[in-house]
Formats: sequence, C-alpha cells, structure tokens
Amino acid sequence: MAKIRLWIDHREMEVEEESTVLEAARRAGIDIPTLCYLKDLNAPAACRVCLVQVEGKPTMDASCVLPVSEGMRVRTNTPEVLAARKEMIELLLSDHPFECLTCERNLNCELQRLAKRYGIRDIFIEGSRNHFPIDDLSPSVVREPDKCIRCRRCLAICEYYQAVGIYRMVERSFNAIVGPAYNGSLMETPCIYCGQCITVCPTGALHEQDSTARVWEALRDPHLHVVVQTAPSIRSSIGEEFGYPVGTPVAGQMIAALRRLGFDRVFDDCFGADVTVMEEATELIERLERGGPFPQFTSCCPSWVRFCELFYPEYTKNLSEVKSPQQIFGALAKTYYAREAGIDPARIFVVSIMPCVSKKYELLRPEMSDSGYRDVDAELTTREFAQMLFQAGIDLRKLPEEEFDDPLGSASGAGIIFGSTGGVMEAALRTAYEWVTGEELKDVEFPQVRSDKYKDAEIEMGDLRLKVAVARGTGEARRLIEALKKGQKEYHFVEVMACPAGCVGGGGQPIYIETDDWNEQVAHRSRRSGGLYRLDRQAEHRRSHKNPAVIKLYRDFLGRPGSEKAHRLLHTGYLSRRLYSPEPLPKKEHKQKVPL
Amino acid sequence: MDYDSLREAGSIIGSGGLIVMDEDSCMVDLARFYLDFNQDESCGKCTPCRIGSKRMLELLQKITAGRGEEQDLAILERLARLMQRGSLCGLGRTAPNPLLSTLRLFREEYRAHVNEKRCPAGSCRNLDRLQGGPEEGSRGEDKTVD
Repeated sequence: MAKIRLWIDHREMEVEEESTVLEAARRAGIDIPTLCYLKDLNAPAACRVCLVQVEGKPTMDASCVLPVSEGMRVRTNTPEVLAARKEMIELLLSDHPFECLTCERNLNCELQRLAKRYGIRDIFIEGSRNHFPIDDLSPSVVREPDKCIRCRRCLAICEYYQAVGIYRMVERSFNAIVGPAYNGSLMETPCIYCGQCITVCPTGALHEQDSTARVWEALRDPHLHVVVQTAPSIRSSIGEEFGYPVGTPVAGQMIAALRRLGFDRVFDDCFGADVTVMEEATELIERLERGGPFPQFTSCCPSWVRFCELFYPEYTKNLSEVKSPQQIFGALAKTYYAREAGIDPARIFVVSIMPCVSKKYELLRPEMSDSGYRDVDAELTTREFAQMLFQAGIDLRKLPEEEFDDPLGSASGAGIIFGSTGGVMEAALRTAYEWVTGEELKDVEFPQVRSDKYKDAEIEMGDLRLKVAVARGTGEARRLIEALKKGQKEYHFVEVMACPAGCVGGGGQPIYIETDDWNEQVAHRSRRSGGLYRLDRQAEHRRSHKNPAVIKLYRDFLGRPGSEKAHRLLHTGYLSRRLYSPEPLPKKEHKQKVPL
Repeated sequence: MDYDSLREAGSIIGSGGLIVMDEDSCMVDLARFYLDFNQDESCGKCTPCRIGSKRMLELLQKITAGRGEEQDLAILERLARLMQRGSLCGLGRTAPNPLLSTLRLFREEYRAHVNEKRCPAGSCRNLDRLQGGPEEGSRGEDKTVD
C-alpha cells in the first residue's frame, strides 16, 4: 500500500494512502476531539468539532473525513483552530437545554466532557432554542429531541448495523432534527427497541424508560414478596459501574447488593436460561424428527423476535416457540416457586435485571401472562440497577460474596454463557448433542460457534450433521434470511441476538464513551463475555440438563420437557406486525400458538 | 463583466443577477434579508450553518428592530468567520458574505442602527430616518430586491 508523507503540527510522518488526517494524527499521539464521529459507522462531518487547518487553505476542514495527501501540512492546535472548535461547542450549547444536573447522562456525556475540556465558561452567543415534545410513548426507549446534537449516530446504527432504519433527518435548517418519520413517536415505527441508539448517543437525547420508581415502590410495599432475577450478562458488566476492569465477574457481590436493596429472594435468570435450553433443545429434536420447518431460530432476544415479526413474518414459524429466559423465569416464579414457597402468586412481584431495554417491551406483551398474572412485573437495565445501588449507598466493592437463593437460583455454565453471542447456541448444543446421540460430551465447549463475527458451523451428532449459524445484529440477520430465501444457505438452527457481541453489548448495559471507534466499542463490550466464559469453566455443572435444580423442576412440577404444562407456561406464539401503524401492544386474543 | 473582474471586486457571479440600489436601501436590512434566505436554505446538517446562521439572523433582526447592542457587530463578525471557515458546504461558507461586505463597505449604517437607533435609509420600522420623528418604513417590505 502506498504511503503518504505529511506534516501534522510540524511533525513529519508517513501514513497509509487512505488514512484520514484524524487517523494520522491519532497514530502520532496527537488528539483531536470528535463528537459526531464513530469510526467505521458514522462520519457525517456534521458537528465540525474536529476542525483542523491545512496550511495555505482559507478554510478549515473536518479531520474525520479529510483524506491525507502528499506533502500536506496540517495544524491541529493553532489558537485559531482551538477558538473555532470552542465556538462550535458554544454554538451547540446555545441550542441545548442546560439540564445537566437532572440528565440521565450527567457525568457520562460526550458534549459535557467536551465543554469541560474546552473550558467553556460562557456562551458567546445565545438565542432561541428548539423545543420538541419528549417521546416517552414506547415501552423501552425515550427520546428527548431537545438534547439532540444532530450527530446521526442513532440513524447510522439503526440503518447500517440493525438494518431497521427508523431514524431520518426531519425538517431542515435550524429545525432539523434526527428522528422517526415526521418526528413522530417511536411507537408508530417498526422500532425493535434494541436500544443500540441509546448506547451510541453522545448526550441524553435517548435513554431507557425509567423503571426504578416502580421497583422502589414495590420494595417499599410490605404486602409484596419481591423477587429478582439477574440476567447472565449482568454479573460481568455491573462491575464497570463500580470501577472494576471490564468483564470482571462479580456475581457474589451483586447478589449481596440485591439483598441489601431489600429483595426478598435473589434468583438467577440463568436458571430460566437452563429451562429455555431444555425446551428449545426438545423443540429442535422434534423439528428434526418432523423434518422442519428449518432453520429453528432462537427466540431469547425480544428485539430479534420483533424484527422477525415486523420484517419477515413468513419466518415466525421458524422462531422457537419457547419463551425467553426472562419470561420463563417469570412464569415459573408465579407458579412453581409460589407453590414451593407457599406464597400467593398475587403477592409476588417479579423484577428482572437485564442488559436490555427491549425486555421492558417483552414483559408487556399481553400474552406474557400465562401464570395467570403478569409474569414479570418490572425490568431494570444494568444502568438502572447501578443507579439504585448508588442511591442506596451500596458499594459493590465493599460487599462479601453471597449465593443465589433456591429453588430458582442455581444455574449451569450453559445458562451463564447465554449472555454472550453464540452462548445460547452452545448451551443448546451441549444438551441436544447428548440427547440426540445418547453419548456424554467429552468436551462441552463448542469454540466453533464462539465469535463476535458471523459464524456458521457443522456439528456432528452421530449420523446427523447439524448446520448451525450465529448472527448478531438484525442487519446480519437480514442478510442471513435473504440468503436463506435465495437458497444460498441452509441451516437447522440459528441463534440471533440483536446487539453486538450479544447481551453483553445490550442496549441497557453501561455506556462506554472512551472511544469514538465503533470496532473498539464492540471489542469493549465483547470483553464482558470473558467473565461469563470464566464462570462457565468454574461451574459445577456445565450442561443445562444436568443442573439438579432443573431436574427437580421437571420431576416435581413440569413433568418432562415439552409437556402440556411446559407448553402452557413456557411456550408462546408470534404475530405478523404492520410496519407503520400506531400499534397498540397486541391483545391477548391475538395470541397464536404456531403448530409445528 | 466576468468571473475574474467580479472576484476582484469582492463578489461572485452567482446566478448572474444584478441588483441596483440607492440610498433608500438599508444595507443592514439587505444583510438581514440574505441571511434570512440562506438560513432557510440551510439543510441543517453542520453546526455552524444550522445554528450559526440562525444566530446571525437573530442578531440582524434585533439590530433592524432597534434593539442592537454595542457588542453585536463583533459577535456577528465572529459568527461570520466561523461559518466561512468551518461550514461543511458552499452554502454555509458563503452565507455570511452579504453581511461581511455590507459591514465592510457600509459600517456607518450598522453603527447608526446600533448606536443611534437610526436607519439612514429609512426602511427599518421602529427606527428613525433622521434624528427627528419616526417616518414610514417597513422591515418586512424588501424594496432592495425583487
């Protein structure tokens, strides 16, 4: 590759031909601030905060999109450049509400950080501000357009990564705003509630629906028996909020913290995941016996399920009819646990802590009430959970390690790796392999499905070569389905997670603003998986069907996997949804159980 | 008249139109008119054009309405420079030109508006033509251009 020689701040350097000035400068240790830029995902050159001066040019250029050229001389920190950047930030602030103290992203905001870095004490020009209504109609995502700085990262991730594309530039000139069609509500769009837009928003313009008030209220209510389930990935991501290195598993401290918050029982959603595996592996074997329909898609991810219902309704028959671990847990908590503990299910309040904003939507789906009650009452994201701990003065670092409660608290390693991409597939394979072949796995690990890239593999199970694939991001899922349609690919079993790196990269996870490189962002989230695989290796049982708590559940309550009772409580059906319609949440009578 | 001679005179050929004005045309209001147009035409993508042009227009509206303050001219120049140097496209980069050339060539008219609350051309409503009584004039009526 040809090299280009140029000078940045009088320093001579040689860089690859297609570099930008920003990349060349960073490589030489010269930092240039950015705001709208997210390398390899979004470079609209819109915010103009990364301006530099090319010597001899009357104007300045946005370094994020400025290609290097031979002999170029660039200055990144002349007083003129610094003043222009500062004025640019001040202009942005002149149309920004000064609500930092009450903002969701206070102290974790890229605009705020920039204002601090440039020592903004005064705004040189003020004037009228835009006032758009807050959109809090969706069950998962809240949009506060007044805080939007028009960086378009939400648009980019929704369109290019997720292949959903609900965001556009609406209006123009001063009133230009990034939003859904006609700046309407997310409720009127085919938003899949993955919340990835939240994780890349530099400000507080996008955030989750707050559920902490509802949970505090439940904890305060002496008549309620409040139980909590923690999703697999929380144990390796909550630590970040307390200064642990990314990916540190802190399950024991997390459990102790939940007890101190006042939950009556602290259970593990990985138990729900183990039950999901039992049912989903059974379903896979049933499909193998009946000859389809293939592939069987996993259905743990509510955003993926919604994506399929919206964009590929003809494939909903391929979605596993087994509920997600969250909903399985909820249904079991209000039936099995209620019976075991002798507690009236009407008094049980189920809270789930999830890496996800879509789970807030999933629990509201009307059919998710097979226990006779709303199966799950409230969901907290990892961020909301951390917020509650901060308020309560509970520091994870100062807590002893404690254990989950019985009977919904013990999980296998298979349940734990659900939080990582490929984890659901691997967990299901561990069980399906043994059931299909009747042999014990010598090595329970399936490295061929572990990756943060699209992955497919063939797994030998006796005479059967099981073709499997793992996709993350609905953009990848869309490409996969298009390939299936054209007959270019054929699979038996496909795992889809809507978020990069799986649930560890979910829309409800801690927001990481230390990088403006999308690949680095994904790598950071992937590191959280490391903690989960470590816990799996240390686990006493690594296969869901060997988990004694699961065996007991089937012996005492459900009968066998795929039993009538299991179907009634743990299985569900799907809808064909219209793309653009003010859609109320589906009504109970619409529930369709899809026959195999 | 060609590209080069117009460039020498500090202008551009644009769409080839020519506007003839006399002393009844207010140069501040002219700048306001063009800013209004350019602000409206901004696509709203980049910060300097989206917000900068709006702020410049607001300042010019303030000045032509007789509420101009001493520091406003300096702020206008600052915004104009920022837009010229930092905008993404030609629209934002040239939008401040009418302001900058009228400010360069007719600074006295700006000063009259800001310091004396007087519109020498008599076209700005709310402002006196001379230091005497108020006279008819309309800000909304753009007699300077077709």
